[in-house]
Amino acid sequence: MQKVLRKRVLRNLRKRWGRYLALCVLVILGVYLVVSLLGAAQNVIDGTAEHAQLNRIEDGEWETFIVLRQDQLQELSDRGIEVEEQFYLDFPEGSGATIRLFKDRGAINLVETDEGRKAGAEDEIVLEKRFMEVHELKIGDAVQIGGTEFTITGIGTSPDYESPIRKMSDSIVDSMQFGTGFVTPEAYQYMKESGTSIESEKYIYAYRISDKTLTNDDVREAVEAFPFNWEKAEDPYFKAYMKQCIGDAQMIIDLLDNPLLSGDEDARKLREQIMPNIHNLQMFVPREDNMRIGGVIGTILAYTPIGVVYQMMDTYLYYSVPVIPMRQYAYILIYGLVMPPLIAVIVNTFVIRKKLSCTALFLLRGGRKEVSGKRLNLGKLGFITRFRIRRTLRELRAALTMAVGLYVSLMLVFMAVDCYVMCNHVKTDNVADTHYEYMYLYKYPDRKVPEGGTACFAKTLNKESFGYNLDVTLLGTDTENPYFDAVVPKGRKDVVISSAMAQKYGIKEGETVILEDREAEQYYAFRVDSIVQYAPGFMVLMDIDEMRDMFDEDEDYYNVVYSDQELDIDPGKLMSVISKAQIEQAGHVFVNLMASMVYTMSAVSAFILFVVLYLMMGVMVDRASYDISLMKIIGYRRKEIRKLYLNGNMYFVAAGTLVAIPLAKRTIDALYPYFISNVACAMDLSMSPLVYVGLFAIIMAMYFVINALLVRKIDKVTPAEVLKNRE
Amino acid sequence: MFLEVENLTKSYGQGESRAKVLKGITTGVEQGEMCVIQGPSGSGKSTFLNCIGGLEIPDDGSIRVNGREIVGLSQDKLSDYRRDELGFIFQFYNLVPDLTVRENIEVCEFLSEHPLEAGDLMETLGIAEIGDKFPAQLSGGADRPVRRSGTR
Repeated sequence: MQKVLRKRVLRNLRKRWGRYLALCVLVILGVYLVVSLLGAAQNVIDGTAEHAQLNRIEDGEWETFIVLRQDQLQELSDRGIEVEEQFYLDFPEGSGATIRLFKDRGAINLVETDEGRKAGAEDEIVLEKRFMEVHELKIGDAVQIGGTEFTITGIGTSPDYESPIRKMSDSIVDSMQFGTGFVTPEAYQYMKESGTSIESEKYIYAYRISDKTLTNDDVREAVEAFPFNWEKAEDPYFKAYMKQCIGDAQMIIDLLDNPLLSGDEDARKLREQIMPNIHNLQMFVPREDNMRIGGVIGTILAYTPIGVVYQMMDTYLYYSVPVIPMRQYAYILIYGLVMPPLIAVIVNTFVIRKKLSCTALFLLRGGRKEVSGKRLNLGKLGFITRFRIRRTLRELRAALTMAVGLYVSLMLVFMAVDCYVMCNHVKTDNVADTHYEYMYLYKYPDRKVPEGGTACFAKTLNKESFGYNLDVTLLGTDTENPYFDAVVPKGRKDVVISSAMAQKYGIKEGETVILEDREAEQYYAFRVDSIVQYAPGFMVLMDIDEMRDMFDEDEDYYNVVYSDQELDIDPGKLMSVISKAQIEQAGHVFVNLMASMVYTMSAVSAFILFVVLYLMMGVMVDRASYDISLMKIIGYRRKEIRKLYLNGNMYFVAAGTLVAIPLAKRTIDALYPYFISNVACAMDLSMSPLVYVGLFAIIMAMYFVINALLVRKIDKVTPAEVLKNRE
Repeated sequence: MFLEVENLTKSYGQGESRAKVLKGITTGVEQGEMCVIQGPSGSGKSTFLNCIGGLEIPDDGSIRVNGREIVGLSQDKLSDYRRDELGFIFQFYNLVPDLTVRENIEVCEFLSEHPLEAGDLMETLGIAEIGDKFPAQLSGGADRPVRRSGTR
């Protein structure tokens, strides 16, 4: 008996191969999207984390201005803090890029070579992977660094430079301009003595905590406790700055030492406060939070890339990570292999149960159930209109299913479109909202603001977004600032926030915004007075005088300068310079980075949309094949039959699309903050109405194509079909 | 002859299972003449009528109705032929299930150049009271007058 029934299954498959093929493709695409998304994300997370542990990624790092002594390092080691010197020098490379040169590491942040070997001789180097790729270098090639020629012996990555940016203030990775290189200690010493470096050597210490009872704060306290003689620092700018600061402090001390004040209790207390601070300025330079691997992986995940291999290619094309061997995950495999048949079984069970609950006579008579609205009295309406209404009621369930299918497919479309729109807005709005040409971030600000510059006071605070701490710049400025179109209110309470921040956090005027100073472990609450159009970053503008007072800075303190033209500022005093041109360039990189994902998702979602429409409309035609056959016998021509059975669907599809488009857009817009929860950028998802019109036109075009395909189906229905009906 | 059939041949199936149902039938019917086709089950009665009705394409032969050859006509021409020249009464339950009785009659009325008014027709046939019912609601015998009234 089973054998007989199986023959029927095969016959059915052969007869309706087109529909089954379409269904099959739909399932494949759906599972592919989910499995590839999950698979890629999981592989990247686990793979990079594994490699990071394998290569002994740091728990943190700090920078000093003088080299720590061996006994100091031993003291830290005895306390359970493993430390390794990871000093570096930046050199110009032959193509005009910058190479950050390190000695090869032995204990922390180990270099992993994808190909080749580590440097063994003084003229050998392991270059960072992404730099090599974009410069089309290979093992054995020669490269000029600081005027010295090196032979490349290996292609490497290190866990502390998976996002190979030169400064933490860099918004994008630009491997054409920057890369890292690892040489022997002898080669490093030679390059240090060559005097061809761009800046003075940076004394970076990477650490790993082996005593698990210790925290990062404990490490910080231990290091800050070391006495520090700033006069022994090699950085001349730092020394100059210290002299300036000390001079000011000494002036106050001298004043406080005035015999006339010697009995003054307040003067004594102030003196006691100032003196230790002068000698314990170990970590005086503004520390940058070390956001490495966690943020990188989160960013990748947040953009929901598709295709395990394809997404991992996107990772490899931007980040400097070792090759991650593809791994299969049981839960993903189970999902991909088990879910589709499981759903089919569940659906079949419901459908079969429903059929089996019908009486035998009902099934003999074709098993067509009365639709409750079928009994509608349609009065004096014309025949064609009444016919179409009856058919609509008959196929209402299929029409609603089609509408749901449209909605789901459109959500996929909008995921891709929203991504493109957001990236495009970032690109255009960042440039449009940047009214300055240059922004100079100071390490050691001068007393006097440079000619032509507008001084501000910037401090990086944090605000949480779905579990991620994102940087927010608190910018002290005044209403005279020509670069921000904002009226900054006086007082400490009221602030102006950027539109990027308002969009990201959904903050409105009059609401309270709370920012966290993680270093000082303090929170600051402000009331939003207004929102200024500013897309390039999360910014909170407040009165500069109030801000200086709030953070105990001098009344003329500043650390950032904006200007319309390039200013003559010694680079040694600066942390970074950001130009409008760089901001524009970053926007292009951003868009290009997401382009492949957007195109792929758009193509896949369009295909799914087409298949869903085809299947649903095909079902409607199949269910009407008996009726069509009868109409042909009666004498209806093909054109008349199409009018009765196909053309009415156009109203279904048009109405369904008009509802599904805005609904899908709203749904995805509501979900989008979760997709990019750890990405610090504006989230402008607004689109031109033409996009909606275009989408509607595309769907209707698909409908007409499907209609043409189904016309052939209808033409194949023979009049003799109805004669096969036997009671 | 109003209806002329010459050497009509029709087979079904392929290969070994191919069965010749009509083996070169030649006959004719005058206008106004009534004839009965009888034969055992499987002898080709329905096939013969289907070929005359343009519902099946014969393998060979000729069928002329009122001087017009119908073998070889396109689907649309055959539809016109059935619309203008023929009326069908089906052996079995063949009504559009989603339309009421009145609407099933109107399906044919819509095509007719000189239609009879559906209401009058239903009165004549004594089925006016079931005009708003659906085929599934009719008893086995009640659908017959509906099928007859659908014939033009």
